[in-house]
Amino acid sequence: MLQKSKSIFLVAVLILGGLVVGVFSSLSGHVSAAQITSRSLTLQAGVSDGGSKAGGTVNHLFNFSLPSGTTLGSIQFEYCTTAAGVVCTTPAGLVTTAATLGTQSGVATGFTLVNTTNGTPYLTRAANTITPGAATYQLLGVTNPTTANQTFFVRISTFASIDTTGSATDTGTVAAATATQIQLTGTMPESLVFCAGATIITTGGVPDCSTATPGTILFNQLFSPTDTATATSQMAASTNAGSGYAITVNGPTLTSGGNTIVGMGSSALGTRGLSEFGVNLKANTTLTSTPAIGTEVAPAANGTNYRGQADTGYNVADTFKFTTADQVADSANGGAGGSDAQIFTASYIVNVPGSQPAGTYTTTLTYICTPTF
Amino acid sequence: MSVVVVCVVAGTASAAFADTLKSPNYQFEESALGGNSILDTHSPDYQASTSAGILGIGNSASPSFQINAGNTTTNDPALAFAVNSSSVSFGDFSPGSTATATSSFQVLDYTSYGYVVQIFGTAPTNGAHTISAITSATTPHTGVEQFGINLVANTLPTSLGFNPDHGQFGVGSAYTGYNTSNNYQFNSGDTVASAPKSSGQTTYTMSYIVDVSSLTPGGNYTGGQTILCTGTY
Repeated sequence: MLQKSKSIFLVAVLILGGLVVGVFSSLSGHVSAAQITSRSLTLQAGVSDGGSKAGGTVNHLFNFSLPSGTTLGSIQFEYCTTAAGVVCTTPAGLVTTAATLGTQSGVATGFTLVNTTNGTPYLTRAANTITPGAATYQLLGVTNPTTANQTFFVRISTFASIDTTGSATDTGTVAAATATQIQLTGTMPESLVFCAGATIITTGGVPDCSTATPGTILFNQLFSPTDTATATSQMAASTNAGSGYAITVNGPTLTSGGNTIVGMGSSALGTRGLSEFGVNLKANTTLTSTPAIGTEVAPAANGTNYRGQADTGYNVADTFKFTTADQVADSANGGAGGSDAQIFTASYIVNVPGSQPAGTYTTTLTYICTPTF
Repeated sequence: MSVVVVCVVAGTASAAFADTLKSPNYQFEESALGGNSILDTHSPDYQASTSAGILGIGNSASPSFQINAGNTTTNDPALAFAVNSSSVSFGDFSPGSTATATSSFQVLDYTSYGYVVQIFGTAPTNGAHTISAITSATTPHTGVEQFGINLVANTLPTSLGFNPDHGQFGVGSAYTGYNTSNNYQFNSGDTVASAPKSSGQTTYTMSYIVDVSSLTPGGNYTGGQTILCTGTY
């Protein structure tokens, strides 16, 4: 009887012992994976896509600290729609099979990337013991989930094995989110202010086209073989055209019935006694006439906000030219671009020979300012 | 006192902020799952910040450690981040006035050591011409080309934007350079908002300004902006 009781007791002890061992084994298996700490996933911009762009091809930078100083052979990044749970559903649109390994640093390096299974890329290397500490890994060319403003999770697990088999050593989950991209839009209205007249004055220091005086421009004297007749007109221009403006002069030379005064086909000094009609946009001297006529463009070009300048053929004092459709000015000082308002003064000269038929000579000149936006 | 990790919506797969659960007499400010939510619930005559059995609630943090006190929960991270606008239009620019616009985004981040929100992108650009970004926070000046943003309420150039709305549990704030009223700047990659610890929903309003000069080339200006939220867990 006593022997039988001992046997029953022994069986009970063995059963209980087995249960204890079983429970302990179960518990130890459950708690063996330590928590990866200080973990984050930064969505870095790719070649052309912002880091959080839904469906964008971007780079995923993982930073974390590995707590266990044990053998490490592989690190898995499992992309899921939920942070935890037995089932991991890969976020829609995520593509990791084209990813490559970028930078790697910290307590464990020497990895290569295995990207064959979409949503679960892993790093592998020859298993080696590490010391606990921080590590950083960058996956290049990951396509984000395609839904904007969607949170997704990456379950990070380390393994002693080189292929993520076996029990995880350390685990931790990070969260990241795609985001709607913001597109800024605005319109800068194109502008051009241009006017011509006998005179234009400034208002508050700024050329004011509302002051342009209309009407006929008369030469200062009757045409004479012994003296140069002169006249002036003004024009003002400003634009925000990115490539600036160009001003051309258009019209016939001075005409009286079938008689004309010859337009100066090339830039030259005026010569009394010859038939010539010319224009320039400069401050001339008494070499041309007394009193001197014309002024420089004002304000003067500075290559920044004042770019207006006289053009070749019309930009040398005391030399004149007139060919219809010629470009007489532009806003290219310091490079073609927009310019604040400036006033150009056009100076006209007329010389005639003694045989010039009498009469009233007139012309209508049209200045055309063309901005290029 | 029992100290366990705070309860969050562990199963949140989508970051979309759900509509508030409410009836004519009752509503949930922030919805949560679990036996005892720590999240605030109230009606005009009633308010409860906790449910039964909770001895302590809330977050305590130091530079290297934090606890979230509450009831049964998970240590899984929860992040919800939503940008509420896909386009921001300034209309027409003018040298005589400052163009303004706003957009907003929301962040909720639990079981974390906080988050940072960064902005990436370009100032409005038209072909080869880009509106100059304000690299150091300053007030707007008409007639001078500049582009900037901030994340607070402003009175210049007009009443514009709002301070971060922390709701019941938000702790995030606008970051240096973007946190001074009437001062704007923009540097791609800058951190514009952050929270030092777990945070309930915070709504940020970004205020944009654009000034142009008389020489700003005419045309349509566009600029792409990416907002990025990174939590540390």
